[in-house]
Amino acid sequence: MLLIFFNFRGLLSAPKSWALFAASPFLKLFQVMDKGVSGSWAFFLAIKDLNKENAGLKSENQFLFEEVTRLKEVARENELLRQQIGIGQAEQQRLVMAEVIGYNPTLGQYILIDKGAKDGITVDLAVVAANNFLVGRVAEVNANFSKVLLISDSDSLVNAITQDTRISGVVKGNHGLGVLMEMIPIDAQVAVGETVLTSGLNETIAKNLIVGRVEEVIKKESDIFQSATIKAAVEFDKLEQVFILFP
Amino acid sequence: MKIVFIFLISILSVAAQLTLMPHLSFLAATPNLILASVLAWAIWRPEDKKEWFILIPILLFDLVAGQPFGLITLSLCLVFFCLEELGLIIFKQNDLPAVFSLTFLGIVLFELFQVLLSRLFAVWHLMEPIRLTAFYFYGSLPFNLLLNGALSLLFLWALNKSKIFQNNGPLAKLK
Repeated sequence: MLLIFFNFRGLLSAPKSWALFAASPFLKLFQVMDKGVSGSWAFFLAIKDLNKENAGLKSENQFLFEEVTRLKEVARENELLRQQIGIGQAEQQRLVMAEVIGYNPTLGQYILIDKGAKDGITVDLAVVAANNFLVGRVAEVNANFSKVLLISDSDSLVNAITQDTRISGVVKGNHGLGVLMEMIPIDAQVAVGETVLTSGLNETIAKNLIVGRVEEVIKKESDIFQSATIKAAVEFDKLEQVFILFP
Repeated sequence: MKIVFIFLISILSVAAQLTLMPHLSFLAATPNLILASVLAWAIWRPEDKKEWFILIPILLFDLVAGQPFGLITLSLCLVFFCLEELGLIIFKQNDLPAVFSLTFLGIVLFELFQVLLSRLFAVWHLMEPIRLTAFYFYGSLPFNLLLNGALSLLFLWALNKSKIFQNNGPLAKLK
């Protein structure tokens, strides 16, 4: 109980850093071992589905090629319009890269990252993977490491919006089993496969970060809200590096 | 030397728990090396057992990964002392049914203590209380029982077989 009180007063920051310092060589060793084993295992598992996956990727690649070309044009047009109206360049976000040093899915859904207060990290900052895929938010900061609450945790609440139909809702975790978008009005038409983005209503989580895609819409006539299961854009147990976004 | 050895094993368990064990998750249940060690250490009955040894891995794990700090330590310590008392009062015979019952009770008690203590921590605004939704408790508990039960029985078997922690074992000879 005394230790909990000390922790509450922030006096356990040093012991926490020492404990992590002592564990870090083994954490790194096990991560290397894990990468080796799971990499080869995943390769053997993937062999039988390679043809099917290849065909899927080819068609997706064509679609993305078309999309990238169109978006490049839109970006160029946007830049020209900004110049004409006299608005400066869109604000560049400040990012800090961090290595994932541990994953704790028991009780809460957390990852440990190797950046802490010394690197300017503060509580509640958004954490993303490559390509602006939302991972979660910083829940606890220590001197040289931090704990990130994943969006798959049931305590995580993120305001979100669907990309095409612009329907707002709240994204929350489902006890580590997936991600749900809740509080969607019952009369809203959410399309399966639609991308879900952050709406920017959370103070420290920027707008337009990618949460995932709508997998299934759960609608009960008796309810005033519907919900949707989201396939998260990130595979949480395979994260190696993340970025902390500064507002 | 003893303390260094225990510390090293604890560090290894914490590192394995944070890197390798999440890959063995099934639905929302993840094998918990620290819980399994606590259960095995509580059920194991040598002539001279150092109860405080178990505090080292618990505290290390809580310091590195506990959110908030204290919940895991308190839950596991309560489980440890409950099992010790149950072993002394009810399951004195120390046979297989007693071991199975203690393992089962230990895991259920751990989940219960976590739920109850989370309510207490929520009062201090340290965390959100754990909600007893159907999936978390009734769905996930059987898998937790299966995974962690098997793991703790394996640890208990290893403790019984190995001579490291026995009174005349190599650890006893260390200062």
